[in-house]
Formats: sequence, C-alpha cells, structure tokens
Amino acid sequence: MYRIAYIVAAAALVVTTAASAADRAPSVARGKATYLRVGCFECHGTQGQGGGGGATLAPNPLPEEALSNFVRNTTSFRMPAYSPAVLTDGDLADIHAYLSSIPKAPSPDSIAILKNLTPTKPTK
Amino acid sequence: MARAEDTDVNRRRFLKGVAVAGAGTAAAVLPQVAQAQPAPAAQKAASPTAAQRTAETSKPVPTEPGLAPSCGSDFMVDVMKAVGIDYVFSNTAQSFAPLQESVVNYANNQAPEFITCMHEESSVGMAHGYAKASGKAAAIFCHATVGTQHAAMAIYNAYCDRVPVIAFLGNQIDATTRGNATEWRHAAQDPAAFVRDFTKWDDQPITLQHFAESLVRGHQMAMTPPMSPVCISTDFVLQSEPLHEREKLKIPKITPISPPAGDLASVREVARLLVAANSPVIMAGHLARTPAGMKLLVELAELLNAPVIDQGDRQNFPNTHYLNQGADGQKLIRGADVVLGLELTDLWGAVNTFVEHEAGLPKTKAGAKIIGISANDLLAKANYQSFQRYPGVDMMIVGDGEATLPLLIESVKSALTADRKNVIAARADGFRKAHAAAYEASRQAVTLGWDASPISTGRMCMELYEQIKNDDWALVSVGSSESFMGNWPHRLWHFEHHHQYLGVSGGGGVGYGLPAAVGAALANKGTGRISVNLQCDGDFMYAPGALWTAAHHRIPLLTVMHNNRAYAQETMWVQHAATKRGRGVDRTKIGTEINDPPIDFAKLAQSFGVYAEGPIADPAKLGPALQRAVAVVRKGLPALVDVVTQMR
Repeated sequence: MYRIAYIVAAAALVVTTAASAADRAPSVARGKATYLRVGCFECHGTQGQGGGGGATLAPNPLPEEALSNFVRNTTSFRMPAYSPAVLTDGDLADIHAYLSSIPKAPSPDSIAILKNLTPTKPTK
Repeated sequence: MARAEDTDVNRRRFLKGVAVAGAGTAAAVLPQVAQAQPAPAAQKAASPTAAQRTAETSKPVPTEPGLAPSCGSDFMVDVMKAVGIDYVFSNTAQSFAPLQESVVNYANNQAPEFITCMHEESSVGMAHGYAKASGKAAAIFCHATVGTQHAAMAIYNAYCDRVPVIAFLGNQIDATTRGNATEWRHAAQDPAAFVRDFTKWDDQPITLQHFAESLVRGHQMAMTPPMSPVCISTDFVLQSEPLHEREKLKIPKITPISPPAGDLASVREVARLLVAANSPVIMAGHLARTPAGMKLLVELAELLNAPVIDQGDRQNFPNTHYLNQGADGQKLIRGADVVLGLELTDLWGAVNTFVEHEAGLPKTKAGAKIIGISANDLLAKANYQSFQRYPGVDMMIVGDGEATLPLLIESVKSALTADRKNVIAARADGFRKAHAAAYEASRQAVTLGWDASPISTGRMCMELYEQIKNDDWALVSVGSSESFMGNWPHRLWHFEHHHQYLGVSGGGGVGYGLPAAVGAALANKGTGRISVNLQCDGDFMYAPGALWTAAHHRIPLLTVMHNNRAYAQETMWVQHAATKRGRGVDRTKIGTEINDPPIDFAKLAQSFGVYAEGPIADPAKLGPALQRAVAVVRKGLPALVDVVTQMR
C-alpha cells in the first residue's frame, strides 16, 4: 500500500516537474550549462563554432523547431538522436536560447593576423 | 627496457672471447680510419664453425675503446653505410650491444648516428617521421622479443603509411650462448613472426655474407613502392665474432629502385576516359612520395582542369592551387563522370556511402567510371584488414601512382584534341571562383569562437601560422588526423611544397605524433627549416620521452600542445553509445577525460631540458608565447607551448 502511494506521488512529481520544465521560460545560463553538461561542446565547440567533429551551430542557429527535430530524429552516423529521457524539451529550449545569445563573430579583416595570410617570402 | 642481469660470468667470458679472438691476429683499427674504408681482414682463415666460436669464449678482453679488432658488427655497419642509413633510432639493449658499439666507435657515430630513444615505439615513430621527411629509409635497433613487442604498434603505423623502416632485431640464435634466464626470454626462434603480418619481408642471416645480402635486399624491398617496414634478425654471436677474411665478404651492388608502374594499354585507356570526361575528379592519397609526385599531379590536373581532392596522406597538391577543391569534394564526386583515385587507402569509401550490413550506396551518378591506380594490392596481407573494402571499380591499375603519372600525362597529351582542349579550358574559371570562395569561407569561419577560452583550434593554428608563415616551415606531424584540430592548417595555411606536410600515422595507432615529429625534425635539422608539431595531449602521453630525445640531440622542433584534456574522439564515441541507448551522458567522461589532475606539459618539457611555456588558456597570451618559442627553435633547439584548447 505504501509502495503504491509512493509510486503515485513520484509520478505526480515527475508530471509536475515535466510540466514546469515545458512551461518555464528558456534560459541562456541554463542552456549554456546544459550544453556543456551533455557534451554538445565536444563536437560543436563551447561557442557553437563547430570544428573537426561537428557542424557550426552559432551564431544564427537553426530555428528551435528545426534544431529540435534534428536532435530528436537524426539518423546521422556521427550523432545519435537524443531522446527526451536524455535531453528534455526544456533542455533543448534552453540550449537554443544559449546558441541564439552567441554574438556574431568579428570580421576577419578586423583581426590583424587574418588580414593577409599570404607569406611575404616564399618557402624554399 | 629490461636487460639481462649483469651478474653472469658466462656472458663476460663470452664477450672477452669474441673480442680477443681476433686481437692476436689483427692490427688495431682506429675509428677514423675504419670509417673511411671497409674494415681490414682480421685474419686469413675460414669462417669459424660453431665449435670454434664456443672455443673462442675463454680469451681475455682488451680494455681500450676504439682499439678492438674488427668484428662482425663492424662489417654490418659497413653494409648499413653502403645502403645509406644515416641514423639508427634505438633504445639501447644488450642483444645488439656489439652492433651499437660498432656504430659509436667503428663508425665514429656518424652515418649512421645513434639516436637515443626512450622506448621502441618511439624509435620506430622517429624512424617513420625521418623517412617521410628525408625520403630515405631509416633504421631501428631493438631486442628481438621485448623490443619488437614494444615496437609493433609503430611498425603497423609505418606499414599502413607505406614508410620504409628497417628494424634490426637483436637476437641470440645459438641456445648454448644464452647465459642466463633473461637471455633465454630475450631470444626467439622466429622473432619477426610477431610483426610479419605488417612488414614486407624479413630474414634471419646466420653469416656475415648472408647479412650483407639480406640488408641490401631488405633495403631495396623497403624502398620499392609500396614501401614498407622490413625486419632483419641480427644475431648476437654474428655481431660479436671476429671478422675473418674481410676481403672475402662482398656487399652486393645497390640496385637503383624501379617502382612498378601501370602498363601502357591500361594507362592509355585511363587517359582516353579522362580526356573525354566532362566532370572528372582526381583523388590523391599516398601519392606524392617525392616532390616530383606533387609536380606531376599539378601537371595532370592542369592538363584536364580536373579538380583534385587531396586526402591528406601526403602533401600531394598545393592547397593554394585553384584546382584544389577538397572543400567541395563530396559535391564533385556526386557529379563526376570519371573518378580517378591515386593511391587511395580506401577507394571504396571514397565513392560509396557506408550502410551497416549492406552493400553501400554509390555516391557517384549512374554510369560514372571509377578508376584506381595504386600499388596497394602488391602488399595486401590476409590478417590485418588495412587493405580496406573491395572497391569493385571499372579499372584498377596495380602500379605505383607517382611512377605511373609520367606515362599518364603523356597519354593525356596525346589524347587531347583541339575541341577537348577548349572544353577543358572552359572549366577553369568556375574552379577558380569556387577555390577563392572556399578559402574566404574558411577565413570567416575561423573567427567563430576567436576569443573563446579554452582556445579554439582555429585561433591556435592561426596564431602559430602568423609566427612561421614567412619562414621555411614544415608541419611535420598532426598525429592521427588533422581533423582533430579542425583541419585549420589546410584550410588557411599556404601549403605549396611537398615537404610542408607529411601526412598522418597511417594505422591510427595513438602515440605516433611526437616521435614522428622528432624524427622528421631531425631530417630537417641544419636546413634552417622550422619544423612544427601540432600535438594532441593524449597522443603525447604515450611517448613523452621522445621530447627528451629532441633535447638530447638538439633537434629544432616546435611542439604546440592541442591540450583539450581528453581523449576527445573517444569521448564522442562513448557519448554516442550512451545517447543511442537512452542512458544519458553524465558518466561518459569516465575514462575519457585527462583532467584530474590536469597535466602540466610545460613543466614536463622543462624537466627534459626543453624550453616551454604554458598552460595558456587566454588566447591573447598565445601569440607572444609562440613568438618566444619559435625564437628558440630558430636557434636550433626544441620548444613547447602548452595550449589549453577546445575539443576540436
């Protein structure tokens, strides 16, 4: 009897938590923390810059719905689909908020060492 | 490295005997004299029998170094000189001590010079890098049993990377000369068996004449494409015994290498297909063995205005050339009507999409002709699966790519008509625009995360390039894959010469990066060239002792640590598995992080006597640190900068 009551209570707690997560406003701070915790940065970089392991995600990330659809349903060899059990809808919304907050990168022309990459004297 | 206990009376008696056996009959040979000419005959007598050898083990030994009579290992060094071995990379060991002594005394430690290594895997890794940078075969000495086992992974890398390494395996064939338990453990009936699946050839000579013929043959086989490691079991007794009748020993004539090339009819057909194609694509893997290979590929590509996808196994094609179209590679393959794969490791994978348990899906459109030119099939063995999936192509020419290119170029020239020349010429403009656009896109992309900490791999690579771009530089190692650092060097640096990039490990065996870089930098020593090593932290920790070798031998090498404090690739794969199984990723860093405690690579390097700075996590501090380190390398010394980086 006690056990049944405990399960019902726990289930209610889960429903409440899930509802709260779904209803809560996306948070950039929480999104960044989740992005780092679940390992998105490993392939995509801490600022979504991409690299040798994964695609560029920011700035200007995919719309939230498209991002969510990809994360849930990808059949990519390199990246598995993330189920809600691993990454909740709330987590995804937070991550999208974080990616959206990443500012536009500077122009390469504003960075001295990127202005001219041609050697001034040829290598032997 | 384990060695026999130095408590064995029989061992000492044996050494005394072999050293003095010739002392009574041969004049002293100073090292300088010995270096200039073959060792003189020790005595006019028939080669000793096993019984004679045993009997020789009771005579006293001379104590003055350099005055020992000429012995078997001196002749071995003569043969090594004859085939052009400049360096021996080795972790010292008893089973080849006589040979090592001949190198340092008889040869005066010059050509070959003994390079002190801290592990056999490092020895082979250094030989691997040296061979690629110098274009010459490199040698290693190691124990036949415990040394070969340590060396095995690096030999596999060299085999997969088609690199000539000659491994001398110190052995003790005659059981009656093994004086203690360790010598028994360090002897083998067939020492090369352990690595035979991934070497081209091996032998166990039992006389000095046999040794000479084995080494000359082994050198030729190692250097003939497809190049590969070979092994020569080098008997301790043979090394030690006095040299009888040196004049009767002959070093065989060194025959020039003539690589296998494609046959005329097949090559002409390839040329016909390429000239007739409207969208040909050339892919290059282990193609350019020499600078000439790079020039030939440029000539072929320009004749056809065919885009080139350089797969990064060597610097096959200048990345600044408008026909270098790797950025659009997959799109070009999908649209190609002819694909020519030159020395590709995985031709099947180049033109097919992998589908688990299935035949795969062609990337190319229907009717596209797939052609391969490669010597790979000449070295295929059954056990290790490095030969890759069966490609099932339209034409497969089994011959060396670089050696086949001259004939292919002439055949293309012969097949070109005025009409086809016009069609081909019209392709150039599109490729020029695509190349420029891809370069600019990379220049824009590298700014993403520019000020991030940990430092982005793009920022790290460009800060480094800024310090070396006006020097004569060479990126001598990136470990197992340049993708580990976002491929930024080949996206934005200007690679226009063959020596500027040496490719990767070949077999994907971790621990290649640092030893290979040290070996390659040794090859570049004295040229004024700045050798640069982009070094992953996990790879570094397999063989950190290689850095001591760089310090000890004053090898100018700049090592820039890509210190992401993890086995990043494996982190991703464990995370992949956990996510696929719906188990969450919180625990997937167990076993993949190298962060508790973080390794201080600068302190480690400094303890070896290497100039080092770091860890640097602030991108603003990176440029000045690299500038200081490059200044040290310009003086002819190694330096290290530890950069705390993003994962990729």
